[in-house]
Amino acid sequence: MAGLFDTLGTATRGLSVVQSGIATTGHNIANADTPGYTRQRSLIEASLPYQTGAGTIGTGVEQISVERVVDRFIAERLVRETSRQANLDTEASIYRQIEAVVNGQQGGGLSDELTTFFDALQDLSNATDPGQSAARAQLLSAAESLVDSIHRSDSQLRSLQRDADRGITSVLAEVNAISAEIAELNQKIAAAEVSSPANDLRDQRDQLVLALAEKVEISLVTDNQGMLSIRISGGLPLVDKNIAAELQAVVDPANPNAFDPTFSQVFYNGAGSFFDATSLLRGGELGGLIEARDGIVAGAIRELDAFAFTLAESVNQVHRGGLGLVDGNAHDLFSDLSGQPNVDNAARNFGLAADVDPSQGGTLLNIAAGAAPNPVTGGPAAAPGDTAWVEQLKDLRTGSLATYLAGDVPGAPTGTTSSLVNTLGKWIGDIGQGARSAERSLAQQESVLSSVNDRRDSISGVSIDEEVAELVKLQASFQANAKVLSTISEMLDDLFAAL
Amino acid sequence: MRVTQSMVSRMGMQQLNNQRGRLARTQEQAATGLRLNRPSDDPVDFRSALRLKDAVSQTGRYLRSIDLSRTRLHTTEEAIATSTDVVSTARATAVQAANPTNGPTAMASLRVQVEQLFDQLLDASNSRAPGGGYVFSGVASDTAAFVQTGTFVSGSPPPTVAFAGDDSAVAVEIDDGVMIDVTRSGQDVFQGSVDVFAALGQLWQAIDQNDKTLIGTANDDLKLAFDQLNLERAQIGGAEAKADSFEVRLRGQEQELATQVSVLEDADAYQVYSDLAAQEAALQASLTVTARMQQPTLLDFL
Repeated sequence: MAGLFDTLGTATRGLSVVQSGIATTGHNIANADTPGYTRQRSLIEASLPYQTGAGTIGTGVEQISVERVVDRFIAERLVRETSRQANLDTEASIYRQIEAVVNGQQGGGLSDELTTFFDALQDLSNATDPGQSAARAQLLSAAESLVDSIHRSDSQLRSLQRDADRGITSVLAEVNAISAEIAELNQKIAAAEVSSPANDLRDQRDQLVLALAEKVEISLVTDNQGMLSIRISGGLPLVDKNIAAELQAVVDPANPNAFDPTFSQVFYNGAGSFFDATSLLRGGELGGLIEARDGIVAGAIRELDAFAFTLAESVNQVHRGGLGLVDGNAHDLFSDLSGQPNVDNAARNFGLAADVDPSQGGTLLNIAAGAAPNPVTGGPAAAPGDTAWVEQLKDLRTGSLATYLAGDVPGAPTGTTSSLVNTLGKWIGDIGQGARSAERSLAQQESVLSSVNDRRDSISGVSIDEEVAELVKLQASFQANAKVLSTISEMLDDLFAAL
Repeated sequence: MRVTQSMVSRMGMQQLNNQRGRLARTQEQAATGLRLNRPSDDPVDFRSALRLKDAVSQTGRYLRSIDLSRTRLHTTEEAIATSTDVVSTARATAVQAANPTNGPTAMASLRVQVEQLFDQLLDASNSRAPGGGYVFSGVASDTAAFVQTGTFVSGSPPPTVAFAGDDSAVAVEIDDGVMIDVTRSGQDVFQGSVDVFAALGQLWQAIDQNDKTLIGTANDDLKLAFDQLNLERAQIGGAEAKADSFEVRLRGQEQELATQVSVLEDADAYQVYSDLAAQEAALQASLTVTARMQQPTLLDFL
């Protein structure tokens, strides 16, 4: 049968378990607003009873451990959705910036300049003075503005691309720092968990994993020691237990970026190998930046190139058929780009032809407004009042012509036949479409992520109400245990008094 | 389901952010008056709006073409009208000269009158548009259309006039594929089936020689010249009428296109203001609710 001292022990243990429960509740309340904190729970059970002839006598309560309340499934989902969110966020932000480059709604856009150019062409045919000197100067300045506008769009897009390239380098530094920290925490957790769960270290590690997921898409594998291995897509281990691999930005002439050899490629350096892993990286901010640099912005630049090439080529082709006021030779209006291997970089190389540009030693008189050799002087130049050829040039405004697509070879356009205005409209519309769907996907993803976060908080978050109720309960329990203690103490006093 | 404080606060914040985002968008529409502020607002409509705006601008340029074509049309018409007057006066002179009672002084005065008419005709045939181009020289607008050789010397043949310009009319496009001639060919006007200068010269010579038969022939030629000039003048009048009718049409078209652009890209003001009011009210309600939801915990009741 149990002695009074045994019961005294039971009450003392009860008090200490209640105290540790209060400590856990206090810890929860204190961390209610700590990002990534997982609520903890005291696991208690009735301690081993002992058998007597009269039956089994309880020995009170015992604390087994303090554990975190987590749902592995939700935690992994959170990692995945966080990656996706960061990825879409990066893409939407890039699209917003591209859109600002091509948006002419507040005036001064590329489409306005194209309209002005054709308007100036039309004015040339209305000039009543022989030689149309004012109208020619106006046309040249409209053409110059068009050239500037294309250059400006091109260089703005290229600087977006360069920003993305720099972004990749800085994200890599963050990725490496985070993976190193995770590897270190793995080591600490394995050491600590020999005795009991390292709750707060695991919280820290989970936070770092989420931060890493924001940077790049990852998958997770936990081993039985509590060490977490992290793989990036393609199965490459980024963190293998307590060893972290590194991702490095490398500008390697032997392994250049397809669009611009001065851009860096991402190399994987770990597990004894070192190779270009750019194409393997997906998701997160890093995947978003790579996609932005090599896909979205590069695509927009190449489409602009194709448009600039189509513009130069079609205008020149018609222009060469007309006659200027100087000689009977064929002249270009825009610089001849047909020597390029393909249409890439056309926007950058786009310019006025030297023949018609006074600042390059040419003359406005070479603008081919005339359709026939001067009938009075017998040619070969056109008559000063001849503006019949302008109609041919002006037809390019709405007339259908073979358009080039990105990467086409000069002389072999593969695009649909369309007018210049429509081709430009398509470019702008496509970017708008991309921006719209990026924006929509992001909004959708935000609500997905928020519902996963709610799910996680619902399971792992601290509810003040709950903790306070727990506290009230524990307080009552403390009082009851204390009462047992004082009762036993009184009984012992009675016994001692009887002696 | 457990509901924690951080869930409530996140939900509240998200709601507020969404509402503020919507409000910002509506405010932008109210401020710019545009429904399409960037291509992504509606990519398809944005494309159509771009094309239509270019069409509006092009129509505007055609209207300008018509405006500018008027200067050449007027110059040409006036020159032909002057020439017609010259020919009428010359015919009156011929009738006077045919009068057998004219003495030598009277004939000499009539001869000088014809010389002046000849000069007037030459001036008219070398008319220049306000920009400085000769309207009867065709595309060779920097070259005088008619060049006189010789002078009037009694007893000698009259001076001759040769066409030095280009034998064509200048055409201007006033709508897609629609051209009008804004000048006439100088050759056709003055030296077509009848050479107006030669007819005048012939009259001068007939008066100089006091040859009544020749005066009669010259008068007949001048009648033909008069008809020829009137026919050309009618042609110019026709071009002007065409320009006028296209102007009316293009103005209508410009307005129609501008309306279409407006339908595509302009915000509906009433809609925007009522949206703005509704969204503001919703935001205020959310702010109140969020503030209230954040406060109470069990602690408030212990």
